[in-house]
Amino acid sequence: MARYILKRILIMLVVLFVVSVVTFSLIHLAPGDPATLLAMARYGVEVTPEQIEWVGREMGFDAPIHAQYFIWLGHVFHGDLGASLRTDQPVLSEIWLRLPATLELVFAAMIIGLIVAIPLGVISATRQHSIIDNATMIGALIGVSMPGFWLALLLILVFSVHLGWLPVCGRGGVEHLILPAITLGVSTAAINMRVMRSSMLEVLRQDYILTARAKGLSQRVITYRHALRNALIPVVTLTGIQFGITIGMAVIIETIFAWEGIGKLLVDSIYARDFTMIQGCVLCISALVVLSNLLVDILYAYLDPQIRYENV
Amino acid sequence: MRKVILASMIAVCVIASLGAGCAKEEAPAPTPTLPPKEAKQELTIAVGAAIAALRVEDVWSHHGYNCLVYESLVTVDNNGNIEPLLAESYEVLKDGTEYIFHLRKGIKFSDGAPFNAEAVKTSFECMLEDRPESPLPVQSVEAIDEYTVKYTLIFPYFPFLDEMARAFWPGTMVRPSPEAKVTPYVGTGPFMFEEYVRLQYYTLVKNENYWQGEVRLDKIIFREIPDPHIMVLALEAGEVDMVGVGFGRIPSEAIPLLRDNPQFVVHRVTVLDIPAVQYIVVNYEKEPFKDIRVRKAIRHAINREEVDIVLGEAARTVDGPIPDDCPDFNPKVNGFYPYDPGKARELLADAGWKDSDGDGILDKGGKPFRVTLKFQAQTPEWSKIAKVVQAQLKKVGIDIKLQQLEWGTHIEAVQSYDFDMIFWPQMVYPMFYYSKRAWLNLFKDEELDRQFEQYFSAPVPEARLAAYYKTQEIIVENAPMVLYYEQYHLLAANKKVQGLELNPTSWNLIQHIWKAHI
Repeated sequence: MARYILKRILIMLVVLFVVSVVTFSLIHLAPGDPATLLAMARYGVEVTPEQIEWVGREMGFDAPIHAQYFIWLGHVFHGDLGASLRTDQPVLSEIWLRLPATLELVFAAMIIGLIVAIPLGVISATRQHSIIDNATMIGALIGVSMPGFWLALLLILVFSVHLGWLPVCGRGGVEHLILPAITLGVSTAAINMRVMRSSMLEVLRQDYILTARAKGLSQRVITYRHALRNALIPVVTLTGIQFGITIGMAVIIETIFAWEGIGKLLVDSIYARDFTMIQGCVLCISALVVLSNLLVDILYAYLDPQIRYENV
Repeated sequence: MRKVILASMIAVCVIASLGAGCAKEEAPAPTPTLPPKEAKQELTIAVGAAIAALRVEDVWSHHGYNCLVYESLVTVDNNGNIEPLLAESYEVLKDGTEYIFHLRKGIKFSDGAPFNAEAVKTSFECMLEDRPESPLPVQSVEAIDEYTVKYTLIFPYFPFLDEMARAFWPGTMVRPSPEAKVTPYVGTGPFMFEEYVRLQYYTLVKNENYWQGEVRLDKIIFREIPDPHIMVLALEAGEVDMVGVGFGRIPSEAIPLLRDNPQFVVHRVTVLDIPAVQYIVVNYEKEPFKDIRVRKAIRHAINREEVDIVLGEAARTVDGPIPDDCPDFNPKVNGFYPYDPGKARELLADAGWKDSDGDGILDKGGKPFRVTLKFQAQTPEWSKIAKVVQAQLKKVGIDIKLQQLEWGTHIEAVQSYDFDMIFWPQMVYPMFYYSKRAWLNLFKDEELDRQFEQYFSAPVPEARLAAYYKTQEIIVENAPMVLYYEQYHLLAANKKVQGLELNPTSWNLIQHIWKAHI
């Protein structure tokens, strides 16, 4: 197992290197002169051509692109992701400042997604074609089709403006987390629910379940002790993938709820062509996604003793 | 199952503690709580873009909140005229190359340091640092005596006072100190910086010793809410008291709803010093717009009344670069291009554009009149206007393809002159059209430059006004801009905010907020 994890970590480093090369090339290929945008951010819209040139030289944009990349990479190996071109703040500290916000939001959303989806998926499967099953599946369809920004506005309108129970936006106590986490968690829950249901249905048709039934075990014991663990495997796989997707979706939710996370930082940096910050954010998000996939693989071993990584 | 939950919880805790642990090392995270809201003289304003970090350079870039902390020597009154502020009076000498300001006595910076000629000189000089060049033709600043300061200009430049009247660079007066040349965030204004929590809010408290009188508000909290729709909802929920100040624009569709609600007061102003004018410009160096008749035809073909309906309360179309309510608007420009599709067709026919194949699109030499109009999505009016203009020009046989760009790409299109038609903001009028000082000005003309030079430096005020009038005529007659509109500054406040008086200027809009109270 330890060897497997070590190998995966080495692969992760290669992945991060490739990600950094691709990101660096893409942001330099994108139209829009970074010096102009940065000069505008610094001096306002009435910036002069001299100021733009000055900013360009100061930022080192006059060096060839590959040279710029290797300079940046050299710093990264020393643990320095550079300073934001836009705000002059160290990239690493900016990311650490906002990462807890994003993780808080994403984990809360995923927990909502699982807590809602697993029981409802199991109930739907065990009572297939019942009213509960149909209602759950219609709910899932609505949940997956609703655009996040629309749901966010609706929730704010009802719970903050009309009822006054929860704050409109901002980050603070648990009350601030509820609406953004629900907004982000709804589609995750909807997808998980459908997967959980179909996976459970499939497991319940297996021979060993029939054996369990023949042994006279109660439906409850069959479902929760024998079927659930196997039925969870696809949901766990999905959760690993959803982690990355949820971080992506968090960008919109973070902007709406004034939740200063890494997604919003990334989007703001793209608009401003803040290259060092974009690189830092993408690296950080990639590392999180790769790490979450590794965790999922390790979780497999706990769920299914047949899966072991000794000889990989 | 228990193991699964346990493993998930461990994973959550490990990642969360990683983040938390490193945050402590790299940068202490701010306490993620909002300031307690007490029922006193406290005003919460929602801001769209918060300051990224507090730095000396940011002194002049606070998106219109500068005027609460800093003041300038002169200011702009409600009619758009220059009036003294920190200076008691001023003299313009030597045909406009010397400006002498007589400062008011007894004014103190909010930390108690005296405001005098030396402070003015240091404040100006420190602002020059970290800038490649001065935006003003100032040769030197000299403290003649304790309360008299002299600015010597390289050449006569009459818009000098206008530029000194804004509470941002270069007019901002910042408190000097011996260690660091200036003490950032200490000014003479009605409020003082109190607290700044990154990414969340910052607060100002009243300057107890404000020289103009008693400040009635104890505290102003600026809360960062980037989404304009959420800003309005926060106002409705009572979490903020005011929205729409500075760059935090209120969506135009929210205005009628706020107006109908007796809880709120909506203020709508046009600014007089730097009118918020935007326009559609055509590439007049390239066919088909090289021909002035084509440009004029487009101006006649656009029905401004329909555009106004689409703009709603957010903006209104205007005749030229200076709106009719601004001082020094040239009345000759008024109604220069009335809506007249017949005349538009006539002008296009004169220019050789005819629908020879009967497909409804004009053509010339076998080439159809097909052009692209570029806009970007972050300015909501641009996409609305683009669709109306597309439909209107179709009626006279011009086929417009709309192309939506991202902001950086949009700027590059303007910089490289890669467009047929494009939206763009006008910025500061005399600087924008004067080709020797402007950045990204989209109309250059030698006669226009001459008129601007006359306006900048003619010693006789009448000659300057005549030149200013002439600049407007040249721009409108040449029709490089086929549609102009002026954005309103919209500000909505809870009705509990009393005595709010807006100054119709772009940077000093809420200058008089110190007179307001809850």
